[in-house]
Amino acid sequence: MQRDLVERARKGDHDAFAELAGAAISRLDSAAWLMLRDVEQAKDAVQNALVRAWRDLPTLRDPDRFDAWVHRLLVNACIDEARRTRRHRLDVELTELDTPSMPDPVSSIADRDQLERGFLRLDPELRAVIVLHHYLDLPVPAVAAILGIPLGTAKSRLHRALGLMRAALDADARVRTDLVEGRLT
Amino acid sequence: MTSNERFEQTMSSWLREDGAFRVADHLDEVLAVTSETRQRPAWSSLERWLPVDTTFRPRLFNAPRLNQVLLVAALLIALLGLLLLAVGSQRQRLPEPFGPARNGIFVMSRDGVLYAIDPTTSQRTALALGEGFDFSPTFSRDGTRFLFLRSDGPLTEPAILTMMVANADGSDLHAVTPPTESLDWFDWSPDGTRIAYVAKGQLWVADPRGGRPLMLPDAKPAHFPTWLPPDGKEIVYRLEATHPTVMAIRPDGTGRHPISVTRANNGYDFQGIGVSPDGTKVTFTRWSTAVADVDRNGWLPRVYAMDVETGKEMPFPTASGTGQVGIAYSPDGTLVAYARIHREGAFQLVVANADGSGNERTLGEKKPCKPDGSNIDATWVFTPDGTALVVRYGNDDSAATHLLPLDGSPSSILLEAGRFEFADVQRRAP
Repeated sequence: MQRDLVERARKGDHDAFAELAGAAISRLDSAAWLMLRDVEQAKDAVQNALVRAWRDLPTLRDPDRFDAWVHRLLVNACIDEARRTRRHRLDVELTELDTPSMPDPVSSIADRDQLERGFLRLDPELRAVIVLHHYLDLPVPAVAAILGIPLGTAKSRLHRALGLMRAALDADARVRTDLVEGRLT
Repeated sequence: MTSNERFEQTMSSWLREDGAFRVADHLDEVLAVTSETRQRPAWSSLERWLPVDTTFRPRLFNAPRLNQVLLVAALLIALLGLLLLAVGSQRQRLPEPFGPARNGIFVMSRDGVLYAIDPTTSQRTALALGEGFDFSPTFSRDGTRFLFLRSDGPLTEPAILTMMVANADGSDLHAVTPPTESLDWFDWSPDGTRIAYVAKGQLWVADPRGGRPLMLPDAKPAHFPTWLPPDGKEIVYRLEATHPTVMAIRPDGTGRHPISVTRANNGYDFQGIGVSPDGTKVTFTRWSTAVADVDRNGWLPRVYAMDVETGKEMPFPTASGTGQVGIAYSPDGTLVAYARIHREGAFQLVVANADGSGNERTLGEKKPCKPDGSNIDATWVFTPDGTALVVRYGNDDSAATHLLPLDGSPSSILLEAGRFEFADVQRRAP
């Protein structure tokens, strides 16, 4: 069914593309929002990805790869959007921890803000790998294919992303503890 | 369950909850934009029709505004000139397949018609080649024949094209391929006895005299087939894959082997393959986030020359925050031309030393493009005599071809802009 729609859209059928876009846009919108954490930027990224998909659809050689291809376009659009605002945010240098030096922060995660703060500190590429794997439930080889990186790189990128998230949560936990115990000056 | 697994589970739950209630309310906006956006035909990509190093060559001057009488007279003179050229060329010395040559006549396509242009008078003559939408003329390296692509009737998608060959004067017109879907990228062999081309990712070798083309089954999926100078014993091409490779294969389909030794960073590596005139280097563009030395943010392309024997890659110097794309060698192999990409969203052509020693000189105006240089609507190549760069600015819908002299003298537009406008210059013996 989808293949038929893609074939028709490749030949310029707007209705077919509208059906494809309609079926995908909620998923793309959510993924873009998760990567960018900004409603307007997410909208722009989705729009850019879908417009580009329409424009370049005739160049897609394998219609069965439409979903993966659109995900790739979305990731690229999100990274572009993120870079556009990169200069306006404060980057915090994080060091990945091999083993937690504090009690496991996961057990104490009740605060979604903590996760969001940790997530926001990641580079767009690392956010993308997390969203593709942990939100869209794509296996790591599919993530690698979408991002155009070797499987080993995708694995290490995922590992690094999660490590940095944990480091960020650890740092947050330390600050909380210090605040509670009045050690911050 | 380990703490890592618990953490990943927590992460997944958080993402699902956070993304679950988003309602996409802008589908109509997206569709409004796409309804106004033209699709890019698969067959009309500049990369497909304009091999930077081989098929796209010059075209000249603005045609002077003559009145009708003078124009008719000039056309007759030009026709006579072409006839004389055809007769005379059989007795003239032919140029070597590579190296500097004299500029001969120009052949160009515009709106489906082929024209011959005399560079000394700027007069153009429509070539009577029968019915069909004809475009992308390309001379053999000795300048005695040219090939072009023909669509019988309006161009459709996917395009069904036939490769045609004719003598330089337009005589002895014949087909060298059957009508072929997605015929794409082609190159004359150095001795002019074969033409390599790609159709639907399959590499073929055609005989310019006609007959059934030879399929090279080991060369698929392939792109950018280019004969390796000086003798054309091998065809270099890009093996299409998630991680492409630069490969070489003999024209009889045997002896396939890799040339590149570095693993491609991603599917965008090894774009726009070309060769140096002496056949020792293969040039290409990397388009990869892994090219960190161009820009810390990545996403800028960069051009390389790779040693055919060792696979060692040489980048060309560039300023921080700028990229490069689309490298072409001068006929004598001492210079290269590429586009410099500026992060603010512009590109400009640059000529530099081929040995990578720098000395970049800009040519022509800055033109807009995306900040990552991914949508440059231009192609360029040196004239056979190496004194100028011929640049097509635009796309298949509308393009104008400029002649940019390397000595800095004023540039000229060769002909008014048209659809499917392509040009090539005949090489003649020095």
